[in-house]
Amino acid sequence: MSEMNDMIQMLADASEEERASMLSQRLKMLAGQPEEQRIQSLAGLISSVNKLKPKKMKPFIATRTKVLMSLSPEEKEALILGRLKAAKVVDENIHKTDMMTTLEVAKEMGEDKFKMFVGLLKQIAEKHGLPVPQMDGS
Amino acid sequence: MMNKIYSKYKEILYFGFSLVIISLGLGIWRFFNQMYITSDNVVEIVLRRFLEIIPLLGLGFLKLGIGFAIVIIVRNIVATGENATKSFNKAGLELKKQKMPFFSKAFPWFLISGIVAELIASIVMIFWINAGIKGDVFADHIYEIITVPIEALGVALLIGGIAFGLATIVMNLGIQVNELPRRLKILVKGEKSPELLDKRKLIPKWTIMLTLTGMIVTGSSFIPIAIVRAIHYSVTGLTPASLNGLFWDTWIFVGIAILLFSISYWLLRIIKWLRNQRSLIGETVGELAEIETRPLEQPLKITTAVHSFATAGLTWMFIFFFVIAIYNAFNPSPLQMLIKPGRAISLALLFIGIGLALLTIVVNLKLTAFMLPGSFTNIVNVIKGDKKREEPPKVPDKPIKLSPLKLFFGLISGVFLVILGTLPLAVLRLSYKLQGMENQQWITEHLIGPVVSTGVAFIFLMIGLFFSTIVGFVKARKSIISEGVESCVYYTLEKNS
Repeated sequence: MSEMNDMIQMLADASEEERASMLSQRLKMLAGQPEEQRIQSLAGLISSVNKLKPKKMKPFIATRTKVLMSLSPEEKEALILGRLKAAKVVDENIHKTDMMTTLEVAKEMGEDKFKMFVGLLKQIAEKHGLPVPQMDGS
Repeated sequence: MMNKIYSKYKEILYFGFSLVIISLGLGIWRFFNQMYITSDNVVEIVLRRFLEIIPLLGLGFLKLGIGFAIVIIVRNIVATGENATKSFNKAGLELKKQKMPFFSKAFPWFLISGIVAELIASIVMIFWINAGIKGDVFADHIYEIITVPIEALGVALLIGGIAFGLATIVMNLGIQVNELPRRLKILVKGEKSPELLDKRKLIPKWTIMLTLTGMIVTGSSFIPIAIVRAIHYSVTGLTPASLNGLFWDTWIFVGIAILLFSISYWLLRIIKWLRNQRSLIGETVGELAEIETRPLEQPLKITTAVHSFATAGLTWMFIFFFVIAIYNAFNPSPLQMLIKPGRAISLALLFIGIGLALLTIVVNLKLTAFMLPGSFTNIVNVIKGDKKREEPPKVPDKPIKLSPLKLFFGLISGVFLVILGTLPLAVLRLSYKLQGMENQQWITEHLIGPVVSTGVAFIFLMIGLFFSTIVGFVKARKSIISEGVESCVYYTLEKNS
């Protein structure tokens, strides 16, 4: 997991433009992974993001959310599904913090985008019989 | 346990830096003590010996920090290869393990032995100080004879360890850069297992010879003078004052310059492999995914400058050594005051070259981080039979913007400090000499060491932080390649079953 921590730290320290470009490539790669591997990779990703200082964590999650929303519907579904399943792999607090910050930044992106994001989360969770994330991150 | 110690390279860097800064403070104290409080002889005895060893110990820890960062880089590159090989093996690609040359296993031990030698020199220094205070001339002389060659040996092992660490990176990276695209192609096309590359072709022999020469020259630099001094003292009972210490002092710098020159060339080879990695993977993806390959950006102009700075630095050191240090050894003259600034200029040129090479490496690593994930996405799509393709990343207009210029400017500040610490002091010494103020001339000379050490410490700290940045990228590369190859193998097996 330490290499993931370093990678996330490196991306968090990079400029917004560099971070978006690298994250976009990385998320597309994760979306193409076999499901088990993708869940593990996403669990590593959110655990590493959780280790960032709050000052760096929110901008990172904001870029990640923006990049996620720009991906194709299949990629979005693969990543959101992997993320929801990764909740069972990581510590509950890590999952909650990550989900809450993601919803917070989605809200800051505008009402329409927030609704779209939450709608997508609900739709994918229901489609795969997973619990729908609440606004408190649970 | 060793892994934990290696991972503390940043702490080691800062510890070394603080030792040098403390020495600078003590050097300034020594200067004022000699200028205005000359009666306090004990302070002078202690500080003279302390400042002979401790700044070098600080620089030793800085070199150790850089070396340990390189150990981490090597381990991650090796692990990348091992992970990929394990995945390829699952797909039936039988791959024999390559036997590694002696230096790839030995270099961490060079680093550890180097710092142990410097610590031993520091312990001997305590006895040396004690003998000085007691006025025991015999012991005082013997300790000086022992401690300085051990210190030089430590320097040789530490810088040599760094150079051979880089050689290990060159070799492992060379294998992966050439093998990974070939194996991916074989995996996707279902061909036979490939023949392994001849690793001897990946590492230039002359650079290994140069590194070894630099280590031998540096490590042995003070041994002849120590032997001559010991014999002279045992026969005559007198300190051989006529032996020119500055000559041997310059000889060690010739060794260090050779080592730094070889380091520049190892870094240039790493740059070559990193560019090759992008072009070979790009070509492979282009061929497999049937997409247009984007040509790589023009090589950065600063890469060409690395050759120039490295050659100029080494040539300058040789000219200074042969023209001035040797001449001065036989005909002592005021020219000797030019030796320290001359050496400093040579080191400065070599360090600027190394800094430029490190800038280029970081740029190449960032560009690799931009292109690798997309390349694997495309290969996975080809294996899955998915027609979707990722566009190769655009070539940046100004790739230099991706480089950590702050670190480079930090390194340049260190270079200026090294030169400023010698040139103005040399001019001051010369003016004292011309005025017949012999004592002031020597007092000024004593300030050169701590100031130059501080400049070099700044340079080493920046180089260490460059390597720390590289550690992040190498770990990211490990994740991307390991996961990417695993996905490719998974979908190939799924398709074949």
